Amino acid sequence: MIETIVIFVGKAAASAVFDAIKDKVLGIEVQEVSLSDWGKTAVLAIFAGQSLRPELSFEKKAEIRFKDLENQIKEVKQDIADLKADMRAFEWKVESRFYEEREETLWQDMLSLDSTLDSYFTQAESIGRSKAPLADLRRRAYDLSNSIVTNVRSGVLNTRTRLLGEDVGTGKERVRGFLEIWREQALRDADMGWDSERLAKIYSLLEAKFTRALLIQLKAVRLLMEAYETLHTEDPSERDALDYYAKDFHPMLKREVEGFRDIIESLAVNLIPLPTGTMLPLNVPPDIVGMLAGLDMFTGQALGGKLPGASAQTGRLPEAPAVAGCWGRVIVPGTRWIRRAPGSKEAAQAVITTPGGQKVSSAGTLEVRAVKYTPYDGKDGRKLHQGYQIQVGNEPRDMNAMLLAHFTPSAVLPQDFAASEKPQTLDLALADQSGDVLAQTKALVLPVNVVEKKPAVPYGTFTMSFTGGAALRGK
Amino acid sequence: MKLRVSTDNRAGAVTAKAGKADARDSNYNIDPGSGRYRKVTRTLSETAGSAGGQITVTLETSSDFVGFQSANYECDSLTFKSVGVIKLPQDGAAQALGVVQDSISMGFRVEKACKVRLTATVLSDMDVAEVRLDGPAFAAKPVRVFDDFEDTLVIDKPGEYYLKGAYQLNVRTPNTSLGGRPISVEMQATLTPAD
Repeated sequence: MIETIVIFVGKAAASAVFDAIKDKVLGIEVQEVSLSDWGKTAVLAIFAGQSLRPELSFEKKAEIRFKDLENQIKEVKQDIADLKADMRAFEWKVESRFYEEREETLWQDMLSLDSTLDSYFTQAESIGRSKAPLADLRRRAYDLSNSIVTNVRSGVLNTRTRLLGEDVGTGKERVRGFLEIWREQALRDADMGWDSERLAKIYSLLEAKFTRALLIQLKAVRLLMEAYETLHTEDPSERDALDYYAKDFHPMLKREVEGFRDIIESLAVNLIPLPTGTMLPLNVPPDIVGMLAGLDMFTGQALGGKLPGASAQTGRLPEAPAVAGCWGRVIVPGTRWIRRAPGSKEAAQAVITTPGGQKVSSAGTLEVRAVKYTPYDGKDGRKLHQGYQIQVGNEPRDMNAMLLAHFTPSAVLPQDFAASEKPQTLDLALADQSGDVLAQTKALVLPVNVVEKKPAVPYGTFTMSFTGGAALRGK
Repeated sequence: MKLRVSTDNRAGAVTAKAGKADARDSNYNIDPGSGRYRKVTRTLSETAGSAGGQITVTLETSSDFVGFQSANYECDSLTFKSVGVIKLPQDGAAQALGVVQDSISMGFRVEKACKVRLTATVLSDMDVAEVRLDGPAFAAKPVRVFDDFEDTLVIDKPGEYYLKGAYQLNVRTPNTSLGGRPISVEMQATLTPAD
């Protein structure tokens, strides 16, 4: 179990997405950057609002910024190429590809957007290399910014639709997005048989696909932030880069990351073996525990989450979860858990007992979601993933969803937890805000290398099932 | 207005078993011969095993056709309350079995349209307990309570109606999916004429 979790978390920690948000593409340290900080790194905006007699170091400053941008984009291009190679290396077990044509069309659209972005970056770089008079460069930067806002903003929005899909028409006809297609394909493949290695491969593929799409979108967002910052510098009544990031993009990013989380949770719920007798426990296999642990690490990074040492500064940027926190889930067969129903969201805490007996409380949010089973007819004609039955009152009730109570930490764990080189299994109590214990289980706390050349940070994870004495059996 | 009683089905049981010893059981059941429509108050409790392997199962239940008159088979209201608790072995590896169940069904006949007031509460870790009001007026959609309920309901069709409450908790240890704390369920309901 421990080894499986370590593998999943380690792989997720190496994702390119964290670097992209924190460093390569956006340079956003959520809650650790002010507008002026981001403005200092903006490239196109360096020409905006300048007097025609700039300071002596101006050219050097511009050169450095453009060089940085060039390197950053080069690295992201490499990341995208690596992810493409990862995707090619994977072979589905299942013979027929689910909605193959639709996925190809979506990727064509993404690649077309990527080409457009590269063209804009080339134009930006040519401005940076140009020795033309400053007034000319200022005008070109302004014109390019207007063009970016006009043409690239829709690319960002379309990527959201490509990922999440859309209900269209009066009959709510569905246009499938990437996430829906990936979930169906992955489930059918896993149904051909999975073990730890296979599930890890399937998960890695889905993460690679999602990251690749996300990196292309992040490139577009970087361009837009450059453009908004430039236009704002020219005319302060225009919105600036952080305003766009905080109000437009981050909520979109959050929804996309939640969409990815939802498909992995759906895969997990559909694959968890259900009890065959009424008094048997609901056991979550280590591979699925590992996948969920890796998922939390990945989503925390994709939202630009907090690491130890992060300042508590609140500003214009949105709240982010703690990457270096203790994440976990309680999987509950039913429609409610301790009077909590789907949609419930509350402040909660994970209280971890250290080997020395000290209790460390970590604040966070407990959110309850219903994850539906996705039935389909198997090859032998048997209906798969139909859910389960639970005894309610005097009658067995058919259930088509599993409840997931998900704890997302907002506070990082003390760095001391990463002192132990080996993973530690520690007692954990999940409690509400007033300290009432909801469930007790074991958490695995391990040191994880999230940022290259920096010390490992602590990461905690737990997955428990809660049947609470309910009579439960698979259908 | 009075409620005209028609049926009475009330029964509950507890079982505790630790290791290979025989199970310890106790139960209650309304005897159709004498106890129908009478107030029932029972506490059933069984303990099995010892030290860290001990399991205790308790059922406290009471139910009443309040103000029941045997002369005309009428009562003022229906009410019940039931609490089931299983205290798990402290030793997470101990082998034990615990069952607590209660099932209450109190029936009344409605001759003409009327209103009733139902208040009900279910306190449970999971939705294993249910309070419900069944009958012809609710055939399409029975009134089912899993949390809290307080409302006046219109009964617009004559026939047999039932105020029901039931749950079953079944535990076999070792089992990590029990949450690591005593398991409890509580349900209570009162139904009174509102005309």
